[in-house]
Amino acid sequence: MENQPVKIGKRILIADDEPHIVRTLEDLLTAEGYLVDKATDGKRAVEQAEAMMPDLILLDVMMPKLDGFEVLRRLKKNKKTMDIPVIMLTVKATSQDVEEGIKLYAEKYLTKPFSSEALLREIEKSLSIREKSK
Amino acid sequence: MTTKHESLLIVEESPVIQTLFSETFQRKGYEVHQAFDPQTGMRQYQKSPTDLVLTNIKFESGDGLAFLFELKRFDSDAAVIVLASDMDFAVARHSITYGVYDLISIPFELDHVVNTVRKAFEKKMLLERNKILIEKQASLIERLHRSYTKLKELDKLKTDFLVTISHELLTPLTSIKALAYNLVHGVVGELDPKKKEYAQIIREDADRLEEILREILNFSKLEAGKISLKQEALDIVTVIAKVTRAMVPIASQKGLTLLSRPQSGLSQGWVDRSRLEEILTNLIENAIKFTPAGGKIEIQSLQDGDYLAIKVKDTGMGIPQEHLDKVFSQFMQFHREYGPGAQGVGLGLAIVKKLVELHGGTISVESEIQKGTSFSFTLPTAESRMPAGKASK
Repeated sequence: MENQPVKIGKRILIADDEPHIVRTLEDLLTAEGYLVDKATDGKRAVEQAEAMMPDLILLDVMMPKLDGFEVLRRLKKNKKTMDIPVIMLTVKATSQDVEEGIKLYAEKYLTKPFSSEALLREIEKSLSIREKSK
Repeated sequence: MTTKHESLLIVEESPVIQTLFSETFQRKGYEVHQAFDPQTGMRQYQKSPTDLVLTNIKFESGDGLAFLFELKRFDSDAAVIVLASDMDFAVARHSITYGVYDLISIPFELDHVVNTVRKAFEKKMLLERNKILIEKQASLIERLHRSYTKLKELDKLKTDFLVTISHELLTPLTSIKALAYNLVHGVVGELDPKKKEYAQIIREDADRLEEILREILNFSKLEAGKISLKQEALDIVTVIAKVTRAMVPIASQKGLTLLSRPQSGLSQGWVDRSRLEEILTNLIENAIKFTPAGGKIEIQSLQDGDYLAIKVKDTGMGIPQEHLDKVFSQFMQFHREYGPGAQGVGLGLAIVKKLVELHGGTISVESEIQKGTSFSFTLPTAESRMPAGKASK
C-alpha cells in the first residue's frame, strides 16, 4: 500500500518475443496498477520507447531483429530515452552476459524464470529511485 | 625344435658344399631349397621366399653382390647370411650395407655355420614378432585415439545438449511460474481454496523443476570448463558462519542441531566466496536431508599445513560401503534408507567435487551405517598461493 503512489499511472514497456510471457506480465502488471505497453521485437522496442516514453522497460535479451543488448545500447545513446530505467530479463545466465548487460547500464538484471515477487520488487525499487532523482 | 618348418635357401656353386649344407640342415629339421647360381636363387626366392638365405658372395656364373641387392629390393625383410673367402671378405663386408645378418668366412667350421644359421633364424623370428607387436601396438593406439576422440565428441555433445535443453525448458517454465503466481495472487480474480491450492502446487513444482535445470546448467558449465573462480584471501570461518546461520532454521524445523566448530587462529583461505557458500550449502543440505530428527550436524574446520580442512559431519543413517566411491559421480542418486525422498538429479556432489578441485583442494567421504557420514574437503590457504608477505593477516 505504501508503494501505491509510485505505481499509479506509471507506464511500463514489456519487450519480449515470447507471447506467453508478455501476456502473463501484462496481467500481473495491470493488476498491480501499472499501464502496460508491449513490443515483441527489438526494433519495435526502440520505437515504442521513444514514442510512449515509458517509466520503465522490461527488456528480454534474446529477441528477433535487434537483441536486448543492442536495444539497450540504442536507448542509452538517445538523449530522450537514456534516463528510462531498464530491467533486463533473460534465460541466458552466463556471467559474461551479466557483465555485458551491467556495463551497458541496465538498472537490473533478472534471469528467467524470475520470481514474480522479485520482479515486482525490482520494478518498484527502480521507479522510486527514479522518482527521487527527478 | 621348431613348430613351424623353418625354410632355408642355399645358393652355392660348389656341389660339395651344397651337399654338406643341405644334408646337415635337413637333418636339423629345416626345409632346404637349393640353387647353384644367383639367377636361379633369385627366381626361387621370388617363387617361394624362405625364412633365411645362405649364399656365397663369389660365383663363376654370376654376381653375388648384385644378387644381394636384388634380393633386398624384392624383399627388404629378407634374412641373409653371406659366405666369403678371405680374398672376398672386403667385398662381403660391403654387403652389410644391404642388411645382411651375418658373415661367415671360408674356410668355415660346420658347427659355426650351424650356429650362425640358428642365431639368424632366432633373430628373424624376434624381428618378426617385434614387427607384429609394433603393428598391433600402433593399431591399438590408433583405436584408442579414435575412441578417445569419439568419447570427447560425445561428451561435448552431451554438455551442449544439456545446456541447450535446459535453456529451452527454462523459457516455458518462466510463463508457467508467472502464471501460477498470477493465479495464487488473484491477479485475475480470487480462486476458491481448492483451486488456489492446485495453483500453489504448480508453483512449487515449477520451482523444483527450475532448481533441477539450474543444477544441470551449473554442472554443464563446470564440465565445459566455463566457470572460473574469483579466488581471494578470505576468512572461511565467517563464510561457514553465514551459511550455517542461513541453514539453522531448516535444520531446527527437522529437529536437528547444526553448529560450526572452527579451530581458533585459522589462516585465511584462497577461496571464491560464492563457490565456497555453494559447496557448504550443498553438503549441509545433504546432511539435513539424510539425518533423522534429534541428530546433529557439525562443521569442523582446522589447519593442515598449506591447507584448511573442513568437515561436514552428520549423525545420519550413513551410506553403504559399496556406494561410497560413487557418491561423487554425476547423475548418481544414492538413496539412503529414509528421508523425504531424494530430490534433484544427483549432480550436487559432482558439482561440489568439481568446485573443490577447481580451488586446488580434494574431497573425500567417510561413512558408517546408522552412525553418520562425514564429507571432508580441503582448500588452500592464502599464504600458500600468494607471494610471501602479500597475504594479509
